[in-house]
Amino acid sequence: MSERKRPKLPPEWQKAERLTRGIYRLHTPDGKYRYGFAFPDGTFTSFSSRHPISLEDLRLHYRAEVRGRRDQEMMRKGLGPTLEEIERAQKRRWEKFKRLGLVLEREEDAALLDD
Amino acid sequence: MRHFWTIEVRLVVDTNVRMAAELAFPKGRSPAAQLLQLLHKKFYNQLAGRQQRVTIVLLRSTGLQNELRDVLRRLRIPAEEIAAIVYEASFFSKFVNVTEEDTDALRVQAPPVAHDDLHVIACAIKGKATHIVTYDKRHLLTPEAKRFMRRYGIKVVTPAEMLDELRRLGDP
Repeated sequence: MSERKRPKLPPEWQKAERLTRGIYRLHTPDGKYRYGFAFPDGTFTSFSSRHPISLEDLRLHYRAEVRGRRDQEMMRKGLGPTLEEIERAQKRRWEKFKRLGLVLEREEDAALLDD
Repeated sequence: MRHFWTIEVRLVVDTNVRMAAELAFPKGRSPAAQLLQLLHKKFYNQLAGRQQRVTIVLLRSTGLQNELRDVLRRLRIPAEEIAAIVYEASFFSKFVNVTEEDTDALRVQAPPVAHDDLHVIACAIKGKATHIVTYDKRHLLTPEAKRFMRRYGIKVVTPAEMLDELRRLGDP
């Protein structure tokens, strides 16, 4: 990314260490750290320091977030994925989960998954 | 020119509802899957500029996305599917920047029973949500949590209740 296009970091991020594109490690005053994202559109967000997260998962979130935002923008211009494409992907995924035996007989049981 | 009134419904969909929509069997009878399907359809209608009686804005935060990824990982769902599900969750929703300070501030005010779901509550309050859709009977669908959310004008409902409410409002 060119210097001109790089998002301007907020003051509390000045000591942040850049891990990879758009992903930062932010040092907090108590000596701990948390992770933060700087998106190409100039917005920022940070993860809670309470839950450990790997760099691989941070990358997954960053890419999903950037792609989601970009595709939303594309949709406004009449481009991007169609609803049929999304539904086809969901159906294919569901068939796969069924094959793997990952189905819920009672969907209220889903409440136990994020407990 | 005819005046067209619209109602904006702003939703925070809890991770367990997303999981139910992904894993429910059979899919056709699942209120969670039906609700997400309707939200996706309305999202496309909105972008196409079609007039709708009810418009729906789905809200997300990094905390919710993180929880979704965490649950999918725990179920040993393949990495490419996790990436696709997290992507879809971001594509169809509006981002709300919830910081650790926001959830910490809520820890003092929110009822202890709801402390495990402060990230959901924070996203709903900061994103000016009208509803939280969840299956969580232990933390969010409790009278204490519902009473607390009512102070902010937010209803805590199940997917089936949400579908009923949308029908009552004139949609689908």
